Amino acid sequence: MATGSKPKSQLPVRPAAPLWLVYLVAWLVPGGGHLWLGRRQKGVALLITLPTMFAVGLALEGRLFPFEWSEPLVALAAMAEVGSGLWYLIARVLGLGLGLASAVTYEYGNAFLITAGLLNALVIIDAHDIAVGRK
Amino acid sequence: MAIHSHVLLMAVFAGLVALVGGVLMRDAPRQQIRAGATILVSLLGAAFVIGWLLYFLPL
Repeated sequence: MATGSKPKSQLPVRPAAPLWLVYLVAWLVPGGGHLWLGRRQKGVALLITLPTMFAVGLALEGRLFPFEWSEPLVALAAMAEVGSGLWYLIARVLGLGLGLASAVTYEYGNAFLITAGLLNALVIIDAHDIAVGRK
Repeated sequence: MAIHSHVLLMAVFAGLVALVGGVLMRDAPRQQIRAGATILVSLLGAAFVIGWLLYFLPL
């Protein structure tokens, strides 16, 4: 289909910067990529929801898993959590997310933290689709 | 955190996932709400069905 016949919302959104910078912003600030690409409503919703999910995970005594390659599941969880971008880095620097395995909510906290990171990976893919005109 | 209700935590989790899912899947706000509600009901419904199935298993 020729680009000219596409609805306006599906035309490629050409950011002023290269695509990799859009991905970087979308990773660091959940929803930031969408805001940059002009999808304000989506961006604001994601900007609120994903950090909230991450914060709830920390409050529930969830753990920011280390990259322990001898324990594949722990390493995979760590990779998923990195998806939360800047919030993950800040929590790491502040020494949060130590995880209290004896807490009733420990597993819930992990579910929130891991899912927040994975959802932001989907958000990055969505930002890519918008940037190249697929959405 | 003081919340220890498993159902409430599950509902909060489902709500946040549904919100992100609805926002990502559709563009128009009305459609986003519908998609989010579908995801929310699906997640909660599946949790209750699986919960009741597990209740009858001799674990």
